[in-house]
Amino acid sequence: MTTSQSTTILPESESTRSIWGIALYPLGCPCCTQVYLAQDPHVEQRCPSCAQAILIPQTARLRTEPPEAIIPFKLQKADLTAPLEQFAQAVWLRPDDFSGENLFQRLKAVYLPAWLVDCRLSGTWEAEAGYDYEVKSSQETYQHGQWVTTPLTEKRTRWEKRVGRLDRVYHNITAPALANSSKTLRQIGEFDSASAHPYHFEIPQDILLHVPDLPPESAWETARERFDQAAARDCLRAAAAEHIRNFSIQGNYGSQNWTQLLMPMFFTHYSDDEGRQHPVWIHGQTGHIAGAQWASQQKGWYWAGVSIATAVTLFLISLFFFAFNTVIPALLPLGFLFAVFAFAGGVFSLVPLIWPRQWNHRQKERKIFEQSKKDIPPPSAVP
Amino acid sequence: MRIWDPPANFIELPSQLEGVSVYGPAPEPCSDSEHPTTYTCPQCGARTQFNVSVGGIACEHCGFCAPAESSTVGTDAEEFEFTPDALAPSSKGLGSNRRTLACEQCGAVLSLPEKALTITCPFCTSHRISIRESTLDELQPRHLIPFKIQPQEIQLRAKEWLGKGWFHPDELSRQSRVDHFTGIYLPFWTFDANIIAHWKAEVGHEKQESYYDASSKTWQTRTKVVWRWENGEIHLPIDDLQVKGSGRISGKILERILPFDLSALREYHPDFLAGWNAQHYDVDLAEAWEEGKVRMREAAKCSCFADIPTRHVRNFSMVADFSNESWRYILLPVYISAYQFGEQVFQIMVNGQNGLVAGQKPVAWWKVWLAIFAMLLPGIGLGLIGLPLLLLNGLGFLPLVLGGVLLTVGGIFALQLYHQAADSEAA
Repeated sequence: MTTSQSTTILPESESTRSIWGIALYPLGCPCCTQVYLAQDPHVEQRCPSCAQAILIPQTARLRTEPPEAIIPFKLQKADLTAPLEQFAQAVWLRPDDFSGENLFQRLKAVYLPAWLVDCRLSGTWEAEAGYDYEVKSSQETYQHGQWVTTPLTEKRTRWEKRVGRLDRVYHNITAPALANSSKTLRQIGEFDSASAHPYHFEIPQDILLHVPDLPPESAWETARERFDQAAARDCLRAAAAEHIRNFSIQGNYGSQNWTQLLMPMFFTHYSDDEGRQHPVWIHGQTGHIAGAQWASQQKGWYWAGVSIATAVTLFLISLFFFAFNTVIPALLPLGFLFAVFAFAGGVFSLVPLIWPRQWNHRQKERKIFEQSKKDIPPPSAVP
Repeated sequence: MRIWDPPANFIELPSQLEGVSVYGPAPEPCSDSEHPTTYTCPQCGARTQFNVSVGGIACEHCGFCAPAESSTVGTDAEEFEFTPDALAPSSKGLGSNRRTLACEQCGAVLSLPEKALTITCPFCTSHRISIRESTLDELQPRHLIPFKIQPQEIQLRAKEWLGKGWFHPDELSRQSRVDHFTGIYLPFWTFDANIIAHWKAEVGHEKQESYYDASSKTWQTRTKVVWRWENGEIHLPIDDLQVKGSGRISGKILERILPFDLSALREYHPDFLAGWNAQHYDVDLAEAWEEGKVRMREAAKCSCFADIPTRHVRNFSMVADFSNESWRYILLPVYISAYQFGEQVFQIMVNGQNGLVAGQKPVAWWKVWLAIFAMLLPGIGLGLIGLPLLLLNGLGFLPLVLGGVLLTVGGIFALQLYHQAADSEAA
């Protein structure tokens, strides 16, 4: 593959003004090594990728051309108050820091990058084109000594070999620009690329731009698959078929042009009992919230203790009533009643003890499940 | 820049998108039906025709012969789905220079070799035949079974067949002239389908039960039928159901020379028709399929009943789902002749593959009535003897009962004989 543009190293104290025409400063995460661009490098900002560290100024490897398209935020921060509250409320015994208000306070808008690739694809293709046709069938019903015929129509596909030449220019085919972007997109969902518009050097204040960590050379395999898919769609149209399968193309992917598409996302975080930070991501278009919802084991211990103490107290009172029932016979039923309450309290104390452990276990399982799901690549093309 | 060549036998197809060219396999080369063949001998220039013993084209004058270029495909012969496309008349005619003639008397449409001098309709022996403008929109047959029986053998088989049977006129074999047999390829449809039928019915199960008979003051057993709703499912594959494509010939006679062995099916080639007649179908695919479906669903119904373990069935209902339906249009070899006996004309057919003969035969009804009378006589006689004896002294009971039994048996045989005789005459 060949790319027509080159990369440049942006020193930590310099902005992108000289190359992109807008002043953005590079910041990096010492924990996960992800690099961001921010308008104000002095504002303390937590890493949206891992949430474990504060971003610090550092050098960045950037492509010289600015982003080409941007998908705007559909949601304002204010729209997220209720969803975030709901997200936090879903956990019964949650850490003190895990509240809707805290999540809202720490909201940060971030743009995730994806590559936009233009290319002229010329070569020979072959495939099996599928053409739908109808066949007539019937169902015969016999009832009360008479036959009734119900005509049926069935759709079938006839597959025919097709070959040919293709010479087409494809614009804005997307490819992932982040090594872990599929993980994030897998959780928050796909972006609607139809609403993307050209980028005009108007980044709102207080927004972070994630710098690609997957160079075009590494993203090329995915991009090539996308070009092949686009070519297959074109061949399907050219052959006037309804379906296509076993498509292959031998060709030259020339005149490549790599730029960026920016996809909107919100980031926030909370800390658990041990002070570990957990990131929460919100889709900038749909508002879908993704992130682990950890419960607090400490709170569980606390409420279990309270419950046990109450049960012990009730048990002691019931013993007292049993001891004096010979003097005051009316105390005997009360003693039984308190004993029952004490027993119930003892049993109930197990609930806050076990629940956080079970809940967190399910969160871990969910995390493993999310990771095992099929990767969601960036939108396939931008109009 | 290297120029790309499409694979062999691929042709360029119209593309719906600029910048993309599309090539697909070239259609099958034009069949002979598009370029009618004239059958003349390459050695002496005389007219040639299909010869049964040679199994190909032969010249009677110089002895030239060439086997028909067609392979035996048998029951693996290509089948077609019930698509609107398949029904479109894309491939027409029988593929050689032929004349289409119509019989003004019975309406049969015949395809005859170009120089054929036949002017007698093989279906009704009429001479009122006129050349009709060819309006062939029929499908081209893709397969046929060639004639296996020599025309010379037919005379003998027909004479032998005419001589069989005691209730026909004695002079039938001697007076009837059946020397003019016409070998004709008759149109047939074959149908395949898979049927899955779900049935539901009240099924009666016989059960022995004891009861106390107050009159005899003993315990007796009797059979009781216990009814309960039952259901079931049958899978019935139907393969190569043969339905005639000609409405001009007698279905009854044709039934008697069926079935043809379809394992001998060969790919259609106009050579097989050279010098022979063929009939176009006048029962089209849709009409024939309706008949095929009726026969298939009745077969499915029989299978459902066979699935029920008892003979007591009521409120029977079923739903038959047809799937994988397919059809073939084939030509099958039949020798047809019509002979006159007295004032009447009778049809006769011979299976051109296995030589089976069937047809109409006149009946000497006096022989039939005499036989029926003879069959009924013992019963009537015994009855006539038994009745006065019974009235006189009560001794006639035994002959009367015996007479009744003999009359019933005689009546059944008489009825069978009558039907057999009537069928023999019917077309």
